[in-house]
Amino acid sequence: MSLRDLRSFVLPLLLFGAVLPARAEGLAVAGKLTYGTAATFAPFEFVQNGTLTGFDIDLAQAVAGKMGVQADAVNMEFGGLIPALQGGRIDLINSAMYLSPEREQAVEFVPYMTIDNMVLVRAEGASAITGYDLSLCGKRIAVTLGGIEERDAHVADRTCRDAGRPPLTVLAYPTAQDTALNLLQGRADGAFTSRFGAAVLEAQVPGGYRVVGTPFGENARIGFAIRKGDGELHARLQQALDRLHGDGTFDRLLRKWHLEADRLPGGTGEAARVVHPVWDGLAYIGDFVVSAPFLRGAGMTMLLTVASLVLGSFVGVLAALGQLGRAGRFLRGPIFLYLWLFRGTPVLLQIVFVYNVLPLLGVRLPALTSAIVALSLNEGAYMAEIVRSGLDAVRPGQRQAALALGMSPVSVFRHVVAPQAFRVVLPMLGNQVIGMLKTSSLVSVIAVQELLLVADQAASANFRYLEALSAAALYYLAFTTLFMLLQYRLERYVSPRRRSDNGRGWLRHLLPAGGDVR
Amino acid sequence: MSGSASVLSLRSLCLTIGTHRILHDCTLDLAEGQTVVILGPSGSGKSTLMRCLNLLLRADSGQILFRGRDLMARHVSATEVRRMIGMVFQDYCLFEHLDVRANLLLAPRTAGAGFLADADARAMNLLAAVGLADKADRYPHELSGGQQQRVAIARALVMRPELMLFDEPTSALDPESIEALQALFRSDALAGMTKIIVTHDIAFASKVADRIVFMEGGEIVAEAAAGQAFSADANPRLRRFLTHAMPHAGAFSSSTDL
Ligand SMILES: Nc1ncnc2c1ncn2[C@@H]1O[C@H](COP(=O)(O)OP(=O)(O)O)[C@@H](O)[C@H]1O
Ligand SMILES: [Mg+2]
Repeated sequence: MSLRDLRSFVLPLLLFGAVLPARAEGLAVAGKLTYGTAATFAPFEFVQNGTLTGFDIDLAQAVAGKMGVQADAVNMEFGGLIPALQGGRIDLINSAMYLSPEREQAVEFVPYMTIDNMVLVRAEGASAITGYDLSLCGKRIAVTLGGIEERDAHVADRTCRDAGRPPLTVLAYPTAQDTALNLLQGRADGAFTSRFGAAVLEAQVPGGYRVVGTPFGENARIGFAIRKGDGELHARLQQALDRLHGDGTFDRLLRKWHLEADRLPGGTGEAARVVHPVWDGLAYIGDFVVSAPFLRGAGMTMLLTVASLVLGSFVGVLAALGQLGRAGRFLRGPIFLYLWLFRGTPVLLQIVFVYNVLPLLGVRLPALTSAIVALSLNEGAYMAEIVRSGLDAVRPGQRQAALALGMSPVSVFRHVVAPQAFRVVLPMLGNQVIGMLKTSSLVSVIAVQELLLVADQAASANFRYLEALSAAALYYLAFTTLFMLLQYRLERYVSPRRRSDNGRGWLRHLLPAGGDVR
Repeated sequence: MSGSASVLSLRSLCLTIGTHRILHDCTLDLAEGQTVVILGPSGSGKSTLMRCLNLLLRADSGQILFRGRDLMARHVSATEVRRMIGMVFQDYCLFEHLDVRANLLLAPRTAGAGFLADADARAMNLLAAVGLADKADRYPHELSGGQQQRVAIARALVMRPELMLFDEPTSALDPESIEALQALFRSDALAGMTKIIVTHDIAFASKVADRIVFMEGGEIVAEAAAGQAFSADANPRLRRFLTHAMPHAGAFSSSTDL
C-alpha cells in the first residue's frame, strides 16, 4: 500500500535531508510546539468522536506546559512522519515511535517509556500458538509495518529456521488496526502487538482476542523523535519529562490510560464473540455519514478534486499549446521534462516531495496548498496529453475551411478547433475527474483531512471499520455518480449526435462502457 | 491576355516543397464574371495552385494580382484576402459541431461589424437559393453529400466574395446532384460570379466553362476557350487527356458548341 511506496523514497529523502541543514523553527519564535502523530494506535494516540486523544496527546500537552509553549498536533499517516520532521513541517514526532537503529540514523530520540509486546490470537477456537516460542513456527504472524514487532517476527523466524522448523509467514500491515483486523478475519494465525495495545483490543472487541504467553522484548523503548542535532530541543524536552516524573504527573497519566508497568491483559477467552447486528451497523453508517468530521472530510475531498482539476486543466492546456507554433521550439524541451517527471513518478511521491522536500529548498507551502499543487501538476501532465490528442483529432480540413472563410487564426482556434477538441476529450475528462476523486485520498499522508483519512480515524476509535469505510464509500459513490451525470449532460450538450438520442442513454452511461466513445 | 480587364492575374507563380517542384511558372488571367475550369491529371498541382490563390499556402515567387493589387506583398492581410476569395473544398469541410445556420454565420460573426450587418437575412436567403431553407437547424452529419456541398457554397457566399474557387466539386456527387449543381451555377447566386473550378469531370466542365486550362507537372501547358478546347484542333496533349478521361470523347470532339 501507500507505505510501501513511501519507503522507496524515504531513504533518498533522508540523505537529502542530511546534506541540507534542516531548519529548526517555530518553538522559540512562535511559542508553539508542533508535533506529528499518526492517530491509529490506541491507547497512545487515536481519534474519538472526532477528537485526538490518548496518552501521547496528554503527555505532549503536559510537556508543552512545562516548557511554557503551546502544543499543536498534526495528524497524518505514520509513514509521513519522518519526512515531515525532515522537511521542518513539525518540531517533533510524538507517535509512540519505537527506537530502532534504522530510525536512529535519521532522527534523534528522546525516549520516555519502555514497552513490551505480546502474542495475540483469536479468542474463538483453540490455537496451537502458546507464546513467543517455537509454537510460532510455520504460522502466519501479523505485525505493523516498521514497528518493533516486525523485527521481533523476523527474529522468531530465524530461530525457527535455525531449529529446523518451518519458517514464519510475516504479514506486515500499515497500522496496528489493520494488524488486529487481519487476525480477527483469519488472514493471520497470530499477531504481535504492544502489551497496552492488547489491553485496548480486549476492551474494545470483547471476546475477539486472547493473549498467549508472557510479554517479550522488554527493552524496546518508545520516544519523541526530533531532527538530528536539535540539541536545544532535546535538552528542553528531557527537562520537561524529568519535571513531569518529579511531580507525579507522568504516573497519573500512566494510570489514566491503564499503562501501569505491571498491568497485564486479563484475557479469559471465554466470553462469546460479540456480533454486531446488521441494523445496528446501518445506524452507525448513518451516524458517520452525517457526522461533522465526515462532512468536513467529504467537503475537503470535493475541494481537492475540483481545485486540482481546474488548475490541472489549465496547466495541461498551456503545456499542450506551448508545444505548438514558433515558441514551441524553445518550450518543447522544458515541457517534455515536466511531462516525463510527473508521468514517470508516483503521485504519492510528488505529494510528499512538494510538502516535505520543497521546504528544504526554501519553498514552504501549507499542507492543503501542497496537496493541490502536487495534484494539479500531476493532473496537468496527463491533461496535456489529453488536450494534445483532442487537438490532433480535429480534422485538418476544419481548420483550413475556417481560415479560407477569412476567420482569424485566434477565432479559428476558439470557435472551431477548441470546441471540436473538447467534444473529443470529454469522455477522457470524465475519467480524469473520477480518477482524481480517488487519487485525492493519497494526500492523507501529509495530514490533509480528506474523506478516507477521516474514515480511518473514526474506525480506529471503535473498530467500526465496516461502517466507517461504508460511510466513506457512500460519499465517493455519490460524488462519482454526480460527476458521471454531469459528464453525460455535457456530452449531450456539446455533441449533436448524442443530442438526438433522446434521454435513453443515461443509465447505460453510468455502467462501464468500452466502445461508446466517439 | 491583356491585364487591364482582369480580376485576377497570376504572374510566374512558383512553389517548391523540399526538392519537389510543385508549381512552376504558372501564369493565368481571369476576366470579370468568367468561369475557368482547370483540368489535369492527379498530382499536377491543381489543388496547390488554388490554395496559393487564397494564401493558405505561400508561393515562393511570382505575383498574384487581384484587381491590380499584389496579394503576395508583405503587408497584405491573408485574412482580408480570404474574405474576398471564397473556396469550396472537395470534401466540403462543414463545421461538424455546428448546425447549418451556425455554419453560415460563424465567419460573419467573427469578422466584425461590416460582415455582421444583415448576416442572418443573407444566410437565410442563400440557404433558400441553394434549396436548403428547411435544413437550417440540421447538423452536417444529417445531410447528404450534395446538400453538404450546397451548404459549403452558401457558407462561402455569405462573406460576399468577389471570386470563388471550387476544388473538384463533382467528384463525390451522384449524377442527380451534379445536375443540381450545374443548375446552381446557372442561377442568380453564382451565374455572374468569377470562378475557378478544378474538375476531372469533362462533361461538367463542358457545361460550365468559359475557358479551359490544362495543367501537368505543375505547369500550365494549354489554355483555350471552352468551345475550342473540345474541338478537333485543340492542343494535342489536352486532346489526348480528354480522350483518356472520356472514353466517348469522340462524341464530344464533334460537338463544338456546348
Ligand atoms: N505539403 C506538401 N508537401 C509535399 N508535397 C506536396 C504537398 N502538398 C502537395 N504535394 C505534392 O504536390 C503535387 C500536387 O498536388 P495537388 O496540388 O494536390 O495535385 P492535384 O490537386 O492536381 O491532384 C503532388 O505531387 C503532391 O504529392
Ligand atoms: Mg486535388
